[in-house]
Amino acid sequence: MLPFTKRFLREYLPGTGRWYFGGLTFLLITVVATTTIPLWVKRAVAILKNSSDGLADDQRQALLVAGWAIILLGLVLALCRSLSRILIFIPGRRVEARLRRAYYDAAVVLPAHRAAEFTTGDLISRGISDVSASRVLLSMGVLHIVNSSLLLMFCLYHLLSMSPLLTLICVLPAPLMQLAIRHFSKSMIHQARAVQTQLGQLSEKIRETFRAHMLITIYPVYDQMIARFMSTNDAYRNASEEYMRGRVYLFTMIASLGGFAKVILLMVGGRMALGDSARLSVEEFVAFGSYITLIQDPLRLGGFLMSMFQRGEAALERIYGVRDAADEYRAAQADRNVASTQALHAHEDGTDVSIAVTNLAYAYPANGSSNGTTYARGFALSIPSLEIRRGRRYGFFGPVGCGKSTLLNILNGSLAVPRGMCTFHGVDYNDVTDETLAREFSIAPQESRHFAMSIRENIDQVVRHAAQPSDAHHALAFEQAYTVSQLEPDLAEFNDGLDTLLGENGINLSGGQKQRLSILRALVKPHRILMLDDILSSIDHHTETAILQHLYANLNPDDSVIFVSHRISALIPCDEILIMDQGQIVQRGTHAELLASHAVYRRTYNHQIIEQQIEELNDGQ
Amino acid sequence: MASDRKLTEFFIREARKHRRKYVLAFGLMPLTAIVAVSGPKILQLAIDNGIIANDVHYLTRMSLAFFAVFIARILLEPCVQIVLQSAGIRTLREIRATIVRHVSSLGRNVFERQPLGVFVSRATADVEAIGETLATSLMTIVTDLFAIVAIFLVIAHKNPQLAVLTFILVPIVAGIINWFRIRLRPLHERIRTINGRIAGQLNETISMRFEVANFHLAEGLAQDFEENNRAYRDTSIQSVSYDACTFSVIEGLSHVSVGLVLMLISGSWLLGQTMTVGEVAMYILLLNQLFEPFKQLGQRFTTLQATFAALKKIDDILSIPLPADTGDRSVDGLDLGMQAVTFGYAPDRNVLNDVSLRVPAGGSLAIVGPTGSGKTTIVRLLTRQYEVGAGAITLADTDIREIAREELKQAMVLVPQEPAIFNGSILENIAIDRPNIGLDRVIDVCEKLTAHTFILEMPDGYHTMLETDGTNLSMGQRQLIALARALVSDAQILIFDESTANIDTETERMIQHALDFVMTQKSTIIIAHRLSTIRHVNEIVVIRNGSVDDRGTHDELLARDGLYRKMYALQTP
Repeated sequence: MLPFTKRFLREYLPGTGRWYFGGLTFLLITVVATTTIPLWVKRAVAILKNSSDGLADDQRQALLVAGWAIILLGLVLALCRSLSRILIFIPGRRVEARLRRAYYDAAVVLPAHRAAEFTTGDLISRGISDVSASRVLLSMGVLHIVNSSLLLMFCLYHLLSMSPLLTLICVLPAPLMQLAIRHFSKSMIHQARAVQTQLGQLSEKIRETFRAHMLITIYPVYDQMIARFMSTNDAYRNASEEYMRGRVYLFTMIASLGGFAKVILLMVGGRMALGDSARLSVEEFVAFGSYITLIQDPLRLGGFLMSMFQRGEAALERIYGVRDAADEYRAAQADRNVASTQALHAHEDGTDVSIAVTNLAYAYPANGSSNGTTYARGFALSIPSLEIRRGRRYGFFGPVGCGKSTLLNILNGSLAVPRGMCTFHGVDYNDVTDETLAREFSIAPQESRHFAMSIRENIDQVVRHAAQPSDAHHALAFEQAYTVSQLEPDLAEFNDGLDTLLGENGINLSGGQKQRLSILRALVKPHRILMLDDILSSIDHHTETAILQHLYANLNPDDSVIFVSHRISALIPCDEILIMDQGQIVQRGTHAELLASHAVYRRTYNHQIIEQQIEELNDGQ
Repeated sequence: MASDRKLTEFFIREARKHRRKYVLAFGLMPLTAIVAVSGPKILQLAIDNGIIANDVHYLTRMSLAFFAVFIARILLEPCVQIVLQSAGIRTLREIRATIVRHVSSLGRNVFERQPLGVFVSRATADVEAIGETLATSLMTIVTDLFAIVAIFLVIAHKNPQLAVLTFILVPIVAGIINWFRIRLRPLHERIRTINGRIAGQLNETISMRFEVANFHLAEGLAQDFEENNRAYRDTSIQSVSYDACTFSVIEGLSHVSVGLVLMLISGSWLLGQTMTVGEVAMYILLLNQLFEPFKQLGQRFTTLQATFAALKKIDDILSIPLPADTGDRSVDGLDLGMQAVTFGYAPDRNVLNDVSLRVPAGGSLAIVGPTGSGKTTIVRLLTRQYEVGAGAITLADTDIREIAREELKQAMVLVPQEPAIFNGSILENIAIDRPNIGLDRVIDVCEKLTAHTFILEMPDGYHTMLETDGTNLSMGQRQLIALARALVSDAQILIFDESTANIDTETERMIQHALDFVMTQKSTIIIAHRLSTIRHVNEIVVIRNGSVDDRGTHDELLARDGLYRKMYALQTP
């Protein structure tokens, strides 16, 4: 029963004892006060029963005492109930914050192939709604379980002490009803899960619709996009309604228990109180009624609790799903024995080979989607041998889909390959933690995305957090990197310059500006190998020339550079240019050698030269 | 309170579609109230006239009546609840739809300022926060009022003084609830704000996982997240504490009032009469029932604070004005023109000066010019992402500002440099605005575009699911899909913002080939970064520094000693 709830409690209950001890103590006082009040009422009723001819003085006195007692108990109740609720709710909120943080950390660390199992909208929904639904278990859950069981215990005690027989008859239907409820609640946990799942899907669909706002502004697709969203919206509504109906039936069933007990009380208890030889006094009959009313609340809450636990369990399952995936990844990382830059560099053997690739074979999984890229059926990367040496510059050139980006992702460790194919300073990639490996590289990826903060903060956070791991790592100072990026004239156009706030993913920058910001970001990060994946594609030739000129002038000579570009002009200064096609390196050499030996390369180069000259002509006019 | 009324009105507007359910639930409510008070009344009669009067038959009759009331109650209450809550759930669906419709229609500038995650959180978490509670709360407050009146009548019937005394409690309780309400409101508003930020941060960190890992940003971002996470925790602890007090104080008060009544009886303040045992029992039960709604009301009012805070956030989003759309005219004709258009993003700096263009039906036009000359701005103006400063853009001699936006989109489509791909199959992505077009037509178009081959190589061919933003396609493939999408659409004018940038030479050649085909099908405007694409267009306009530098056919421009000839000379060495 409820395995994820158990796990959640084991993880988060320790340390909350102090709060719960206080809360539960006050709760106990509250319950005692609540169940004592009917005793005073009973006493008052007994007085009133014998006062048909007006109250005698001692009766007045006794009634006054009862009145005062009840007022006092009411005040104690108000105070202790407040304190108990506050003290019990606080640990719930504290645990919620811890759980949300743990979830956040897990969602961030999720490796690409595991992250692909979830949509972003769903991951957000888990971090918001599911975390809250789990918290309710600790706050409302603990409060009501303890409150209800204490109340039931005390009430039953008082009931039994008045008339065991009547008590027994009144609670007789309870076990029968409990069976029905248990049967019923089983199907409800599925419904609860369906609701949470649908909410995740809805959240993703909404996110997607909003992301498509550009498409909607320029294309007559508004109705279709809304229709796509509405079908998910309706599915969620249906799931909620179905769950709601189940919940109402369950509540009714449970609430009817108390009502039914009252019917029995009147039918059986009423008769017992009849006549001169009554087995039950009238005041006891009234007190009986009061206690049954008191029990009604915890019973009604029982239904509420059940639905809360169902929803909480479903929510926890979704949270732990993500956390387990993250833990699995962390555990696999922990098994790698090269876990620091120092440990990695200790393997340097004097040669200048940084990365060595031997018999690399890589094919995407059958479903075609991995690491965010779907490749054609049958796509396979096959590299018999490749070395990346210190201080050398490599250029990669080839048509779309030839495997350049895949190779880059393998080289920088983003894409895992089996043991024996890739080594860094002779250490197999599978023996180095991703974190350590990532410190060797600085990457400007093909898709340039930036955080929704100012341009300066985007860079500053990299400077602050990507600390210099060793003397062998080099980074450019901000001013140098800023010059390389050639962003200055662009930022001069913005009112706030470097402090311009970026929108989601840097939406208010042009494609070329985003790419140049990526270059800037990559350069301020300490690295030994710089990877630039087609980052000049949206940049005009004039700027490109300036960027390359400043880049090569400022780079540390020990840095290796891996350049992917469709623009041959960017590759010319490379020590070696590798031409790729259909997952293979088909030719390699310097620019001059390739011009002589490779027809497509030569043709493309001539074509691009003309374009450049046209552009220069334009610029010159 | 005034804004509460406005927000409630908004809710009611959304709820109106389901008014039948609300009316039904409302109609059943007096019945529920009667059933609720008749239980204690029957009990009083059973005690006084049955048990104490020692009348077995009367007691039996009352027992049966009590049973009947019980049955009525368990039949009636779930009905009311289901009708009411279902109306609530359905209203939320409407609200969600309103938000999504509104946000989808917002201008680009809004998305540049606000992270997407915040909008998503408004349409999901905030709508959830309204929950079924608003409908239920508003309606239960009404039922509760019914119940309170019914209880008052039953007490007053037997003992008017007691009734008056009891109802002195009402303003006291109302005052307490209001005191807490005033304190809770700002807390709940803060909670919603922080919640939105948390959602935004989750969205950003998750979608930028690659950057986070490669630049070791996890720790720093987690610190920012933790700040909001803590603020959320602390604010909600405050609000929960107020909440707990409201509930408990009202509960305590219900007992205090029973004590008070006993003291009053003891002092014969209730005008000398004592109460019968049955009456005391009934009174206690009724008082219980009276405070139950108050307790609920207290709870409800605090829940309502959260609800209104969420509604307020939603209202903020809905208050962002939509891009002006004054046009309502339809057009019949494809003659597209730009007359003496001047435009600048900032008031004092014009990006375009006195630019005039014309594309007749079925014609083709190319715009060439160096980077930053204003080509992209022309695209934005043609597609009405921005409005012209001076001059006019006309379609079939009608100013496009007077044409309904939807009409304009039906007439003219843009293939942007960064095309939008959404989570759906390739087929769905291509046929997005014509879902019934059929696979054959799509295949036909893709063959002409030479996209057919790469699509067939995908795992499920045309049915391969694409991910949001097309992250499982290359840049060039995305543009080919977008071109296919534009080709199968009904629109007869196609604007192609050439992105030679993102496409390798081979793919670029495919697209050039495809464009030659497009020109035979539709009016075409090509924003060209290279010249090879545009040799066959009817007219070429050379833009420089925001002004038209030269214009003519390929041959005419070649005949003149201008920029174009120099370009062309370079192309044919």
